[in-house]
Amino acid sequence: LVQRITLDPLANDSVDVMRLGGEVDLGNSRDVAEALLDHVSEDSPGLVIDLSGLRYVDSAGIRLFVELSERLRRNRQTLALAVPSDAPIHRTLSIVKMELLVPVHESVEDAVEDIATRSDSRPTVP
Amino acid sequence: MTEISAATSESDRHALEALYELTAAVARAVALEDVCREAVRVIRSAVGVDRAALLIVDEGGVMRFRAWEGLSDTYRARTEGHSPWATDETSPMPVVIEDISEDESLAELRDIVTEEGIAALTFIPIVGPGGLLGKFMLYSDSPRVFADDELMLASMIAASVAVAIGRREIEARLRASRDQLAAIFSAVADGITVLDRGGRFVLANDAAAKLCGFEDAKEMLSAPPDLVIERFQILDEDGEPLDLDALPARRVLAGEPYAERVVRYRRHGDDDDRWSHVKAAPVPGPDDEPEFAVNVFRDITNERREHERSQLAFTRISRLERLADAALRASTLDELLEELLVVVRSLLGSDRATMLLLGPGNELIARAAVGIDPDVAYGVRVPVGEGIAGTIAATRAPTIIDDLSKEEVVSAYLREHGGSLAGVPLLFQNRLLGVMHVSSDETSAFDAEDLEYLKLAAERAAIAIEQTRIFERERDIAAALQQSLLPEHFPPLPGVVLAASYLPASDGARVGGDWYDAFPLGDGRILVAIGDIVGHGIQAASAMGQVRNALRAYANEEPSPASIFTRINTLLSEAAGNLFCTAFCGVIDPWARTITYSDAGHPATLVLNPRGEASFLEGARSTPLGALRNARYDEQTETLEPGAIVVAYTDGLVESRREPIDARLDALADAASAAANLPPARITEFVESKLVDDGEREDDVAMIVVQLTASPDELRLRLPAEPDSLRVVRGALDGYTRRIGGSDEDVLDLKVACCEACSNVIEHAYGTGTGAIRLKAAATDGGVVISVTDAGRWREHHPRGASRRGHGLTLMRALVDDVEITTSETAGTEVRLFRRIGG
Repeated sequence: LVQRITLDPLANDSVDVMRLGGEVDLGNSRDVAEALLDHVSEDSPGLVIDLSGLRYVDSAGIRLFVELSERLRRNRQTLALAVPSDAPIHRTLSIVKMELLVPVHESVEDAVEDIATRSDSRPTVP
Repeated sequence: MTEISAATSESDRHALEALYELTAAVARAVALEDVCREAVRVIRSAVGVDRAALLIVDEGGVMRFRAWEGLSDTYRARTEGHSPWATDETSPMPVVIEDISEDESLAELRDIVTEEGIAALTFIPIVGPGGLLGKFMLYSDSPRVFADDELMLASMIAASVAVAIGRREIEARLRASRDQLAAIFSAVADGITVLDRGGRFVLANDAAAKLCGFEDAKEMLSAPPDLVIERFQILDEDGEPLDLDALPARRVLAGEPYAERVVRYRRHGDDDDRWSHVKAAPVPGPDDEPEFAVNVFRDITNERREHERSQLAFTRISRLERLADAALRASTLDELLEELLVVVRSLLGSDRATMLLLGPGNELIARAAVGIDPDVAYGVRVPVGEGIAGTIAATRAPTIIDDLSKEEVVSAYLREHGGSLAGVPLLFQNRLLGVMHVSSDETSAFDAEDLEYLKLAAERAAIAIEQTRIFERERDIAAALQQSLLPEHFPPLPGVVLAASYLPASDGARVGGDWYDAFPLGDGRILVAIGDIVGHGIQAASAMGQVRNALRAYANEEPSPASIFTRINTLLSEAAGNLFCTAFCGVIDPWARTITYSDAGHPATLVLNPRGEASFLEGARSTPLGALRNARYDEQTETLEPGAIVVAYTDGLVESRREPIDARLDALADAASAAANLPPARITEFVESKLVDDGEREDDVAMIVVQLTASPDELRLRLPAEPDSLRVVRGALDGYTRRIGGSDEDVLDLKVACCEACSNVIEHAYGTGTGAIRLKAAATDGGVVISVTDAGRWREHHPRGASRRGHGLTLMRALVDDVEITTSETAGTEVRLFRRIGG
C-alpha cells in the first residue's frame, strides 16, 4: 500500500487509465511508480494518468513521470498525462515544461485519443 | 375435472415447485447474482409473461437492472432508474399497466416501451424491513389483465429475493466488523480465545496460542480441545488442583454473566508454575443462552512471584500488627510516624524527636520530626557511617550520648542545641530501615530505661513502615500493569510540548480503564486522545489496548476526530461484551494554531490562553463510544492563541462525592490558571496536587497536556533529513503561510519551492547517516523569507544521472521572487527564499 495517494483505475476500452490523487514527493515517488506500473497491462498501447485530483507534486514526481515514460517506451508503450488547466499541479508542471518530456493533455479523452493515434501509426513488430 | 383446469393446476404446480426451488436457493446462500437470475426465470414461468426483469436499488438510491430476460440493451439503458414509487415509500404496492396505449401515468416512457414491443407491464415492489429494495418488472407483448393470485405469487417471489438482498448486506457488515476485530485481536498482547458451548476453540489469537505452547493460532485451532487442556495441570491460586468447571469460560457458558480468576498452571514435564489472569464474558446466541465465551488471559507470572514474596512478609507483619497499639494506626505513614514521635517525646520528656529513613545512596533522610521547625528538619541527609545517626545505622547499636558538644554531629539543629540524645536503629527482619532519635537541651537527659522504650517504639514504627512499603509496591505493580499500556514519554514533536500522567486509584489492586495517547499525523499535526473505559465484559485494561489500537489504525486512514469516533463506536457496538468508553480526541495544528475535536461523553477539555485564562471546549459533544449504535459524532474547530495550553483529563480528576461537579470544574480551572506559566510536565503535577486527594482516590486519574510552542512571528523547524519530514514541512508551511495572509497559490508555491530545498538536503544526507534540516520562515514587509540550512553542499547535479536537481532549481526560481544559495565550509549550505505575499 502506497502512503498518502489514491489510485483508481478508470474504465476505458483501448488504453489503461489511472486516476492519481493525493501528494507525491521524494517520500513515495518510487512506490507510486511501481504501483502505476502494476496497473499497466501487457497488451495496452500505453497508460493515461489523470492528474486532475493530485494535490501536490514536485521535482521528485516530475522525475517519476519522466522515468515511467522511459520504462514504458522500452516496452513500446506510451505514457500520457491528463492535466486540466484548473488542476492544482498545473502550474508546477508547466514551469518545468512537462509537455516537452511527456505528452500532456487537457482531458483524459484527449490523452486516450493521443495514445490511440500513436499506436495506430506504431510499426508492428514482426 | 376438465382438461383445462387440469392443465391450470399442472402449471400452478410448476410455479410452486419453481418457487420452492428459489426459496431453497436463497436458503442455501447462493450468490445474489444467481438468485436474481433464478428469480427472473421463476417469475416469468410462474406468472406466464413474455419478458421479465429484476432491478435493485444501488448505493446512490437508483434502480439498476440486475437480471432480465427478453429485453434489449437500448431499452434497459433508457428505462434504468425509473420507479413508480418514491424512494422513501414505506409500503409500496404493485402497479399494473394493462395497456400502455391507454395509460397516462407512463406517458413519458410510452414511446420507448412501445418501440420495444411491450404492450402491458407490471411493477412488483421488493420490500425489506428498511423500505424499498428493488422491483420486478413483468412485461407482456399484448394488453393483458393480471389476476390477483398472479400478483400474489409475484409478491411471494419478491419476498424471497428481499431476504437474499438483506442477508447479503448483513453479511457484508459482519465481514467488515469481523475483519476489524481480527486486526485488533492480533495486535493485543493479551491472549484471546473464543469457545463454543462444546468447549471447542472457534477463535484464538497468536498471543493465546503462544501462551498455550503452540506455534501460532492456526496450529492451536486445529488441535482437539481436550489436547489443549491435557497439556496442563490446572491449579488454583494456592496450588491445589482446580476443577475445570471453575474456569471462567466454563462458568460463563454455564450462565454466569462475567467471570474472572487467577489460574495457576504447570505444563506437563515442566517444573515451573505459571500464573494467568483469566477473564471471560458470554456471547448470547439467538436463544439468549450463552453461545460462545470470550476468554481473555494475561500471563501474570512475574507480577505474581513478586506478589507471593510480599504476601509472605505481609503475613508475618499482620501477626505482629495485632500486638501493636490501636492508637498507632493512622491513615497514612506520615501521620503515623508523627503520632508515634509525639508519644515518644512526651513519654521521654525530650524536646525533639526525629525519624530518619534509609534512602537511595545509603543515606539517611529525615522523614518525620517533632519539636523542630519542619523546614530545618526535613532537608537533613546523613550518610550511613557518619555522625551520630549514621553511626547508629552502621553499628545497629542503641546509643545514648550524654553531651552532644563532645561529638561529631552532622545535623545543624543538633549542633546548635547541644544537650543529650538517645537513638535506636529501625530494623525489620534484620534489615535496616532507618534511625529514630530523641534529643534534649539538657545533658545526660536519657537513661537505659528510656532506651528500652525507644526500642519498643522503633519496632512498631518499623512494622508500619514496612507495611506501607508493601502496600505501595502492590499499588505500583497495579499501576505498572496499566502504564505498560500507556506511553510514558512522547517523542519530541515540532511545535508542541507534551506531557501526560497517570495515577491509579488509591485502592491499589484495582486497575482502572483510563488511557491516553498522542502521536504525530505525519503532516505537522498531532493527534491527542484521552478516554475512560466503562462497563463490564472483556475487562477494562484489555479493552483499552483495543480502543487505542483502533484509534491509531483509523487515524492513519482518515485523521478526523468525528470519523475516528464514528468507526470506533461501530466497532464497540458490534463487539461482544457490553463495554463503552468516554473519550476526547483532538487534532492540533500547531502551525495554523487550531484544534479540531470531538467529545464522546467525556468531561470538557480545558484550554489556557497565554494570559492564563481558562475556558472549556464545549462543542461537538455526543454519547460515549459503544453506548448507542448509530450515534452521530461531529467535530468542531477552535483557534488557539500562541502558547496556548490544552489540558485533557479523565473524570477521576473532577469527580468528588463531597463537592458538586461545577465547583470541581472551577477548582480545575483555577489550578490550571495558576500553573499556566509552568512547563507541561509540571502543570500535571501541580493540578494533581491541588485536585487529587492522595489519601482516598476512588478512581484513577489520567491527564494529558499539550502546549503550543511555535513562535507566533516565525516558523522554526528542525527535522531529521528523511523523506517523511517533507510532509511535516508542508503541513507547517500551510498553517504558517495562511496565518500571515497567504492565498492558496502562495501556499502551494511556497510548499513546492521549500520542499525542493529540503529534498536536496535529504537526498544528500542519504548514505551519510543522520543529518538534519533546519527551516526558518519569517514574515517581512509584504512577504515571507524562508531559510533552509543543512551541513553540506548544494548539489546541482546528482551523481546518478544528468541534472536530476535541474527541475528543482527551475521550480524554486519560478515560484518565489528571490533565491539565494550560500555555501560555506563551516556553516554548510543555506538556501534563502523570498516571496511576496497577498500582493
